[in-house]
Parts: sequence; structure tokens; C-alpha cells
Amino acid sequence: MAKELAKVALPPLWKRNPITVQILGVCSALAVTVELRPALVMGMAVVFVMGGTNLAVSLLRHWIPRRIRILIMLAVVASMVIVVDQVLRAFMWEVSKQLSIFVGLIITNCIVLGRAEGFALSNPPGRSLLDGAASGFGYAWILVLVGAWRELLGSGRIGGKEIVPIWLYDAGYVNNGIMVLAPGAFFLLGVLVWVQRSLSGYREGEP
Amino acid sequence: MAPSKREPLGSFAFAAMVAAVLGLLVSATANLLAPRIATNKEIERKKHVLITTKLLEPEARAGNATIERLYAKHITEKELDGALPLFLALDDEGRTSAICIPLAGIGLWGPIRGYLALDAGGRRVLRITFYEHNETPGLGAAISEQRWSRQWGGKSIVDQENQLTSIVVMKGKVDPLDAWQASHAVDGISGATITGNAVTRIVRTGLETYQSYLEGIWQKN
Repeated sequence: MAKELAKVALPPLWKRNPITVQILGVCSALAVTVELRPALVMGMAVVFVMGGTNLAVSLLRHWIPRRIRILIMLAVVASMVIVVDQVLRAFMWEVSKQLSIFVGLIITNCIVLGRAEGFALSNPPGRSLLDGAASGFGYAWILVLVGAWRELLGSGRIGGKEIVPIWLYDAGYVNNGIMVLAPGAFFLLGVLVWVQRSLSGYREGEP
Repeated sequence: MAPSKREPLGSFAFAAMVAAVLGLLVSATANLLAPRIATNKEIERKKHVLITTKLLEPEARAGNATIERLYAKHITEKELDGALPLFLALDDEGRTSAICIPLAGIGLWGPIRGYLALDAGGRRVLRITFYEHNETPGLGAAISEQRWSRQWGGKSIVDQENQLTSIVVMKGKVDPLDAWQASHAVDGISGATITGNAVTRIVRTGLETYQSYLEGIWQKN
């Protein structure tokens, strides 16, 4: 039983990571990772949306008429996303403004519909919830890593806390401005994809 | 599609039910959280007024309670003829320390909103803040950054004869030898001329809107 659950929960975290292996959901990975905090909150938002969507779709899977299944899945994801957006605006106002449209754009993230269609439609609710949440976490830890690096290299801080000591600045060290902009995210993400795939032994074309 | 043995519910009926349930979920959430979100927006507005009138510094991490307290103690809200909002900042002795007016207009990519605070005499800029805009990141977006907006401090909005001149965002840098520019102009943002012109226009329009009130202040001082 535990082994079966591991088979569901572990691959999205490493071997079949949505961002580094499947190259899905990259757009928001570039946009919201300027600082660590918004990246973390975005990651959690995606975990919630994916877990919730997979659970709902799985519960309804015997009832959804085939022809409108994409429509139904979209409706579920859209509702989840709206709920998350409202909750963020109510309880984490500052971060919600940093995330702005990207919470709403979670619905365009291929991972969400991909798992709903590919897993939740044909698996029981418990497993589907686990699969959704695990995929969300696989996405989230990449975001957190990129966010931490970009904030450190681009602003000298992590999570808002000054890390780079003043004496280093005085000695001539300068924050890397490109890390605050999208190209910096591109470079970091590219390197991360390369490193993660090398470590996990992923080969193109293998299932 | 019609119900069949394999699919017990017709597509239409199913879709309608799902829509109803999801609609209920979403609107319930929105309604439940609406008061909190409105409070957040109001706190943010108060925070901007406090920052513009120099009662709060932008980097300061102030909680909601602090902002409410500062605002209640130091800010008087007034409404002039024509439903014009005005904010007066009071110091600890109850004397006016700043006059704050809202700014609003169209920038390059979308609306620009901000506040302009003048000192008690109403002639010099205390601080200007732009809290909402869609200007180009790295270029026009500099208007909401301290490194650009702090040069507004101390600039004059009137000339020697107490006529309204407003403040001009230059194309390029202010010539320090030109007396008029030194008191009435600020450096432009290179690569963001249109945004700069929009700011010039928005500040002028804002001041003209409150001109009769300000003239009253200038006459008294």
C-alpha cells in the first residue's frame, strides 16, 4: 500500500518533475520568482488548485459525460483559482499584489489539466488528490529554488532578510540586476533543468 | 447529449448542476471574504496617504493597527466643493503639517494614481507617490521608485507672483544653473519620455483642480 502511494507521490517530485522534465508551467516560474516569498505562496496556491481539482474530478469521474469533460475540468480549475485568489487577497494582501494576474493564470498551466485528464479521470479520489498535490509540490520546489537564487543574486536578500554583508558591497560587489528580470530567470531555469536531468538520469524520448 | 445507459446524466443537466455548485462555492467565498478585502484596500489607501505626508516611511513595516492609529491621529479628511477629497496631515500639536491631494490620470499603458503632498504653506512639494500604474518595468515604472520620486521634495509649484506653475518632468536632466528649472523641474527618466510627460500632465491637472483651495492657502501665508 505504501509502495503504491509512493509510486504516485514521488515521480512528480523528481523523476517526472513538471517543470524540469516535462517543461510545463514555465511561464509563471519565470514571472513570480523575483523573490522567494511570492514564489513560495504561488507554489502553495498551485498545490491547492491541483489537489482540489484532481479530487473533485476524481469524485465526479463516473458521472462526467465524455463530450464535456474538458469543459467540466476547466470549470473546476477556474473555480479553485478564484477561491485561492480571494483567499490570498483577504489574508496575504501584499503578496497577492506581487502575484497579481499569475494566480488567475494558474488555469493556463498545462500541468493542472494534464493531471486532471491523465490521472484523476481514471483513478480513485485519494490517489488523485495525492497525485495532484505531489505534482504541485514538484512545481513548487523548483519555484522556491529559483526564487531564492534570484532574490539572493538580484537583491542580496532571501525572504526579505539581508544576506549579503555590507562589507562585501563596500568591497565592490554589486547585485546582479539581470536576475531581477526575466532573462535571469531563463538562465537559472535552464541550468536547473540541466542539473536536475543529469542527476535524475532522464533521457529524452524515454517514457 | 441525451442520457444513455453508460452515461446516466445528460450533458446539459450535468453541466448545469456542476455550474450551480461551483457558482455557489465561488460566490460564497467572495461574499465571505469581501469585507476583509475591502479593509485591506482601505488600509493600503491610508498607508499611501501616510507615506506621502511623510508620517510613515516606505520601507517601514507597519502593521494594520499602526496604520489605523497613525491615520486616525494625524490625518483629517476633507471634502471640497465638487466632491474633491483632501487630506490634511496634522503634527502632534494639531497644526497642519501637510496638504495631500490625490492624483489620477492616464499614463502610457494604463491609469496612473498617486498622491501629492505639499508643505503647510502649500507652495512646496513634500513628497509625491505613485501607487498604481502599468508603466514599463525598468523604464516608466521608475516613477514609483524612491530614487526618482525623492527629487520632487522641495520643488515649488508657484512662481514669485504666486501663480501656479506646477512641476515639469524634463526630457533629460535638469540644468542646475537654470534657476527656473532648479525650482520647478525634475529629471526625466531616460527611455520613458511619454510616461514623464504623462506625469507632468497629471500633476498639473491635479493642482489645477485644487487651485481655488490652494490659492486660499497661499494668501493666508
